[in-house]
Amino acid sequence: MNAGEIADMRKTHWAGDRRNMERAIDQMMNRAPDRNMERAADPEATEAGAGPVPAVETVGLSVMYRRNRALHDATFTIPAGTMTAVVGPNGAGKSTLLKAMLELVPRVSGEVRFFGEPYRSVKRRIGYVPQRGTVDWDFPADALDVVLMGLYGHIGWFRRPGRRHRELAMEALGRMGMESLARRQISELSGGQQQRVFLARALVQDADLYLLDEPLAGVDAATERVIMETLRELKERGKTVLVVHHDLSTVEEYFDRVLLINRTVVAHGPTAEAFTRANLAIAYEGTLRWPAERSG
Amino acid sequence: MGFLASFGWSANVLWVLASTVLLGMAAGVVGSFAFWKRHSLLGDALAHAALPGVVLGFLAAGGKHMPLMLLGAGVSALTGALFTQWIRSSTRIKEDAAMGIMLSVYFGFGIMLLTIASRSAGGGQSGLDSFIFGQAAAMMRQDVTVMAALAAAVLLVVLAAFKEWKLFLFDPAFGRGLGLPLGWMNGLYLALLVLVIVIGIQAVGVILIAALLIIPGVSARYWTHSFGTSLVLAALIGGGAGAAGTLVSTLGKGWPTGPFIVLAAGAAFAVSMLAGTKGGIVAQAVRERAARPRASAGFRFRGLPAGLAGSGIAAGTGFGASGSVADAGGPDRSGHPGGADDIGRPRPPSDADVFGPSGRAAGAAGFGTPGQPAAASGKAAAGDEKAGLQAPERGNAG
Repeated sequence: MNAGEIADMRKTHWAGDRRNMERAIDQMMNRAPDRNMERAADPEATEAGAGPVPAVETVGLSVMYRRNRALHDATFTIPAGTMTAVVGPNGAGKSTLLKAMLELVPRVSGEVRFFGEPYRSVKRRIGYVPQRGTVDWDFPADALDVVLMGLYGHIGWFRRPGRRHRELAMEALGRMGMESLARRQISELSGGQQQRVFLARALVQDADLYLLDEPLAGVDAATERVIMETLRELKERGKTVLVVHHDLSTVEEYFDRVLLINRTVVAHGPTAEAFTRANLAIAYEGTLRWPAERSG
Repeated sequence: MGFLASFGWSANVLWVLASTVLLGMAAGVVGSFAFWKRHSLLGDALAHAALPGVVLGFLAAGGKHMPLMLLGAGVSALTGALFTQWIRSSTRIKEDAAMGIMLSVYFGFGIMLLTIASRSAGGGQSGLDSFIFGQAAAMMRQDVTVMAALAAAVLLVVLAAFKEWKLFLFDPAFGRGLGLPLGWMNGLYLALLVLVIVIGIQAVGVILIAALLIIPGVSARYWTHSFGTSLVLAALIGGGAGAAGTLVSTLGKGWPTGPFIVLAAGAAFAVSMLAGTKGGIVAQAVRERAARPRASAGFRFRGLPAGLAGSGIAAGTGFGASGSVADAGGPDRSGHPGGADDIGRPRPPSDADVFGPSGRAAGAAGFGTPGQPAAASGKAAAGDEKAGLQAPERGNAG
């Protein structure tokens, strides 16, 4: 297979995508008004009311940066075993939401419960994959070192990682297609490879809830595939996955639920219900050139 | 000892030597922490902020009372740190500017107090001046004990929780999720930093202590990709600079020790930056040079070690050490026979289905650009190296 063929294949693939998308949008258009109503009425209330304990339950979460309101009164529920996209425009508070949930930034108000318990008592069950840019990749470490960090909680204080831990880390790297690069200095990895290392580190944690901050930002197509494949596997194993996602064109393909935010929760629920043009228009405040934004 | 004494060095020189070596090692390790925490300027700022405390301790005790002066230095440095933090968090001023304000104001205040103290206590007899430029030559047996205790404390703290410190420095947000007590660790790290500064300013002074904190850690990164090794190297470079500076200063009458220590550290940095095997200027140039011809006439340099391919550069820059140069390009090539590319590299067939045919080929082309030559996957050996060398740039750009 040569480059031309691949390019063609992709083009048709994308074109098909686009057609589907446009069809979906047309449908949304027709039913947009009542969806909007339902948003106001909070579909979540009935949905997660009497079921099993949700993975995340956030009530009235607010965050201030300086005197600016970064996030206001975010209230939502995420059922266990689902894969949710956190979607919203730049500066909507997507990363802030994750950080506030994990108490990495101070909250002004609000409460977050994971599996019905406060963060403190379930830390170990939560795997967090921060944005790639938050760390200094020049740090003297190789890929395996970074993945091993995911096991520090299991290893315990004052002890060094043993062979078993190394094997677990290698296994996780292998799942990300990275075992041959295990000893590579992290600054010599491509962006996509760095992201895989981060995901491998989260995998070895063996958490029940994974929070990922833009894991697909700036990665190549192959990495995107590996990452999404892995996340889907996690979901199939009953884990809950929450992903800050920036590419609206893939939301419907990848996620079964959507949390649409712009400084507050605009809509949340199953993708088909929450990811509507009307809701997007509210979240993006008319800045969205639908569906042309995919190329931009 | 007897051996050194036979050179005609007094016991005093040996005490000084031991002190500066131990101080250099402790400063090298703690300074590495500061460097990876992106606090390189903090050591400088804290050292300057310590000066008013030293003089206030002197004034309070009415004479050269060491413990009180060091306590003053520590307290003063910590208030400086808090002041900086306060400026940064309550205004729009960035950290570097806040530190600049704090260190100059504290230092100015310290100099002013120094003038007062000198007048009140019989001119320059107070010995306070030595805190500005340091006076390692005046160190004695008890100073060695203090330095040894300091070095031991640093060693203990680092070894006890080595992997925790690593995570603390690399990715604290992630560490927090694992239950790392970031607040405590930050406090301990700052305490060690202040301790090294307060003890170190006697030897090299408030102005030069920053060099002893920053330079070893920065130099070490040019030689290794392992955090543990980099700490060991930083300790060696710091200790070596302490030894070299002290010995050189004994060669001339009245030669100052502190500046020579810093110059020795500076020399170590210059050598590391130029000849370091991991990202040194020469190594970098050789790697780039070795990669370039492969794109057009890959066969020409096939099978030749990188050092040979790039030896023209090595000779041109006056670095004839083609042996070490070959090393520089070596590890990636020999250590990872599969080469360095994205995941399109040759892999077991079982993995291939994860990516699907197009994903696999796109990966080989580097960054998933479909238009790039998919042929690269066929000639992985030839294309690998180039992709590998470009990888860091891509990483940084992202």
